[in-house]
Amino acid sequence: MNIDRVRLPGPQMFRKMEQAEGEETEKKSESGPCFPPTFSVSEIKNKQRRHSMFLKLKEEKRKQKLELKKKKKKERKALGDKAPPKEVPKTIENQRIYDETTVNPEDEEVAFDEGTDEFSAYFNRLTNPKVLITTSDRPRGRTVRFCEQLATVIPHAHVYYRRGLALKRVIPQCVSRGFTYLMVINEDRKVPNGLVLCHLPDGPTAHFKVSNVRLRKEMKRRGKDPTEHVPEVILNNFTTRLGHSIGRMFAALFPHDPQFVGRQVATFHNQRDFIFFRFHRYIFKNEKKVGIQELGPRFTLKLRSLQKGTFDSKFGEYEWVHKRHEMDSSRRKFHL
Amino acid sequence: MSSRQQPVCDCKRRERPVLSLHESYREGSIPCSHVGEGEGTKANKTRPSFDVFRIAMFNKPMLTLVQVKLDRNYAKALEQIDENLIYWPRFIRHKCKQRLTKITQYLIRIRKLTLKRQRKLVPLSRKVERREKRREEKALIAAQLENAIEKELLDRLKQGTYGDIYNFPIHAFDKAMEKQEEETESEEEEEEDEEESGTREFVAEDEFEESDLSDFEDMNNLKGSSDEEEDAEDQSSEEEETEEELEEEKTKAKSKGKTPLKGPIRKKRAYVEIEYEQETEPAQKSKAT
Repeated sequence: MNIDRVRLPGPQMFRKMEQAEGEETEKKSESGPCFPPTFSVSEIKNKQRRHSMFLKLKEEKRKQKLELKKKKKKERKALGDKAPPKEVPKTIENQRIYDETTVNPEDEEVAFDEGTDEFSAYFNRLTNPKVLITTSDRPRGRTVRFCEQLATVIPHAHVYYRRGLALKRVIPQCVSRGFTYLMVINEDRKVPNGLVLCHLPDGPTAHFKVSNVRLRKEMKRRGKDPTEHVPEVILNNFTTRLGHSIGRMFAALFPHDPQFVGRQVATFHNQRDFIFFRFHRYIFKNEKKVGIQELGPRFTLKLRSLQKGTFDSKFGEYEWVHKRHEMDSSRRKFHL
Repeated sequence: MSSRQQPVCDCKRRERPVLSLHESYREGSIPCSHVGEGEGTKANKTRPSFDVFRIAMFNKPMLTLVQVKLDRNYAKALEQIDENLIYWPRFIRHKCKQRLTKITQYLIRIRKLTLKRQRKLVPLSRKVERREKRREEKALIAAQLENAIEKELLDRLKQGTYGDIYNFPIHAFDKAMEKQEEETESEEEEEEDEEESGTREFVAEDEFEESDLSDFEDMNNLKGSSDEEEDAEDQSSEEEETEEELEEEKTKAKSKGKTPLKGPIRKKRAYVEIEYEQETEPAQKSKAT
């Protein structure tokens, strides 16, 4: 049999194979490529022919799909109002596992908690935010520039060099000088990769993983440098209790009254546990359209741990720690 | 002359340096050729029996070493070395002491460093990093950030968090007009009052705009139009302010192409402009000074 196969010219060989599968050969003579159901492209040994067969298979499938779509559309039109509602495609956000700690806007307990937690001082307008930005030891250029740009984005922010000081000693000094926030940007291999955000008068400490940092000069089509006006803050999608507290942490970074004159807005958008930070300048073209222009650095954060007191890695009480094996087991479960 | 150090493991690093002597030397019988200093936890190794000792001496010299614990005091330890290696050549003794010095110095440094901040190295799992990166990209696409931000801003505009800064929202304008009509019907006040109540928004903007002329290029035009509408109804008290704005508006309107406004406003604007161009230009010049 093998010898026979070798000697026969190509198309016949192919036909033979099809016959071997036990399928009809009439269809092959038709113009459009039709494939017998149990035929599989991977069984052709010749690469070129296999490739061309595969392309034809794809064409077929695409055509069928289009036909199906057209048919459905026709049916929809024909039915008119009686048509069944359009099916919503499943997305990860749709399929998200419901988190019990999701906050209801009217929840009293949450409201009460928020009235008495560490940020209540800020939200009751008792304190103004003052931020200290520093890095880990020996920062490289990129991190330094990132710190500077952050300081322009966040009003009342000061950048200080860390000269090998222990954070535990830095914190009481900051408190005595009236800082409300301490931001430490950790660096690894010349690139910022971590952020410790510590609310100072013994407030919670959040540790984030920072990724995709884009400095100002790497932004395409960016605008001029941000001005000194206080920006507005947008916090999106912080739904659970944890998300709520993190959202309040971010909100407390910025002063209360945004200066709308400046038309600047800082956005913290949470999507699937990644917090995207963007800084834009907006302009209302008319009531239905707004144009935004990105200025300022952009980065994404992912929460690693939330600790109750100020920064203390050994003895601190952790409210939430990201545990990979428990928390990353399902692709539809998010915590923020 | 090989001076071997005892193998040191981490747990033993802090122990005192120990002088190890060949056992046979201790007994003084056989001249030893191996002297080593090292660290060990045992003060005395168990002495093997003599035959085993002989075998060890030739096959495994390490087994025949005897360890002498040196004093913690550096000076006394040096003296101990001298005592124990009394008949050894000066050079060897010197090298032993040098080794002792090095060991003590690095032990000191270790103790000092452990008091300072320790850098904790956290290993990154490549698989996890790759997975997170991919998930982040997908989350970014799903987030549709620009749309979300624009939507949020427009919502805020509708809710009125921006107050009276932006004047073009037609709905707000219509509401304002409705308010005005109601008030005229209900109260029947003078024109001034009507205008203030109905067009309160616009008055505020006038004041606002005068202080901040640079930012609002677009705003100016639209405000200018609304101001013109006011002026069409209104009186001299507001005319000066609006005329200044008119000047600005004209200059800017000519330089920049403005967004097409909705129907009613555009009509009103055209109507008013014609009026003003005819009537008040000379007046403006006089008042501008």
